[in-house]
Amino acid sequence: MTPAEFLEKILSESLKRNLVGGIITLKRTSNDAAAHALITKVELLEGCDPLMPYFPGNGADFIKTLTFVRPPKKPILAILRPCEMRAVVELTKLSQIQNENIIYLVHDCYGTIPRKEIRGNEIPDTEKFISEARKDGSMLRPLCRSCDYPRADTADIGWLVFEDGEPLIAYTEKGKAFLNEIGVEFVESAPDKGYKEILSKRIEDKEKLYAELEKNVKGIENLAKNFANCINCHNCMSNCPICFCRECFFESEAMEFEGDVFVELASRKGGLRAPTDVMLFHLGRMSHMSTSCVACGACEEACPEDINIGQIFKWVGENTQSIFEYKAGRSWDEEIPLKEFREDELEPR
Amino acid sequence: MPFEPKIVGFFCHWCTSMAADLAGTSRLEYPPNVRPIRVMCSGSVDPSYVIKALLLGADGVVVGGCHPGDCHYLTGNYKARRRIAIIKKIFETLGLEHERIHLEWISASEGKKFVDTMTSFTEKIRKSGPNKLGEMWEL
Repeated sequence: MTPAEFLEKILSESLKRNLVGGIITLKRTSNDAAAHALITKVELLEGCDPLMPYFPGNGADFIKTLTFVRPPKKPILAILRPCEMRAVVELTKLSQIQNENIIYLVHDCYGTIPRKEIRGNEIPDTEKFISEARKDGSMLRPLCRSCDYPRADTADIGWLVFEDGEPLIAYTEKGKAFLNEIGVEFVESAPDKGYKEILSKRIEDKEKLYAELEKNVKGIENLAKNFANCINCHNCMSNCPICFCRECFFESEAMEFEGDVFVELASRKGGLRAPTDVMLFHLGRMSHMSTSCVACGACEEACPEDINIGQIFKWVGENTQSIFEYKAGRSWDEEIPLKEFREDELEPR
Repeated sequence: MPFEPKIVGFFCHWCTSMAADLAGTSRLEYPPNVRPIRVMCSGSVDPSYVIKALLLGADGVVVGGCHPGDCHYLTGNYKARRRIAIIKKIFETLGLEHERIHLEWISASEGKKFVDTMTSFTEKIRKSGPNKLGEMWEL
């Protein structure tokens, strides 16, 4: 199913026939930008382009907004990227999303371009971008380039754009019922020729990325240098889909002290650097949520100082998740490491 | 002056802190390098506190909890075990010294084990030398 057919047969049709109460997808907006949007009117589907190489933030955040208090009464069709779907899975496990009335349709993902390279320019044409991205991933965000989950089978429906003919697949009964109702063809099992081709490239790039991080970030001196420009704005945390806490520990009273505490800290070495607790914030955040990090890179996109924070979280997260043979967002059935506790494990320590 | 390590201990109220008391009433001596902080459960030790201690110049952190199955709050020590494993893995990945973090199960009756653990951990840290992490954020 080509993107044009997708727009016509799935999006337009499901709104016209009132099969869904709305559609969440990426849309080019009237002011030359793009955003996730909840669309209820067929006319506004113009400019909707789920495959566009633009990542305005993790769409799971919007699903949370939509369903946190009470999910909509009528089904909503949400078109997401695999990393956004992984965040949906994690947030569901963390009781932040209620899935009853959301139909998830996730497309194979070619990746996106860093926002700061698009800023001020037009978002590149999707078709042209895809034909380039198939050959060479160098224009992609580093996290897209090294993404080892460019397809998500946790969704209700998959749009396998990596494969010949770009077929749809129903992963769940809910997805099957929707596709039957709308009357489009879909495959029963996912072909994986195109997927494997892309995946092997991505994994190759991931190894390169990790080797680079080993060289440039590992070790006290490298690490301090890497974070030296951090202004402690907490943008990475507020844009992280997994960091859902209403009040962040690092913005709580636990970080507030009497003036003399800081004077004492300063006097140990003759001076105290401000803002304080920058490394504590990053290392602490890793210890709080790296086991659920889906490596979407929303943090990195939000960093005003261009720190490679998303790459570091992906790297650290993959390692912390590996202790528990866990992969954030991979499956609905695995309990997240910080919620499940076993008597007999991790010994000797 | 020879190097004297500073060690911060987070000890569960129900077991390790009791073991420390028992060591005291049994006249068993343990190194004064350890600064004990009594917490209600090893599961209440947020990883950030362990990290913060190391960032602010502690040379080692030891967390003491109840043996598996013995937690006063049923599962607090399992939480501590996972959290410590996570911090250690983060440190290992980033090339920091995860050996400076230690978790031990010490029950209320194990005054001797408490003393032995503190002594051996202090000696280990003494050999490792001062913690460089405290100097990471120098001006």
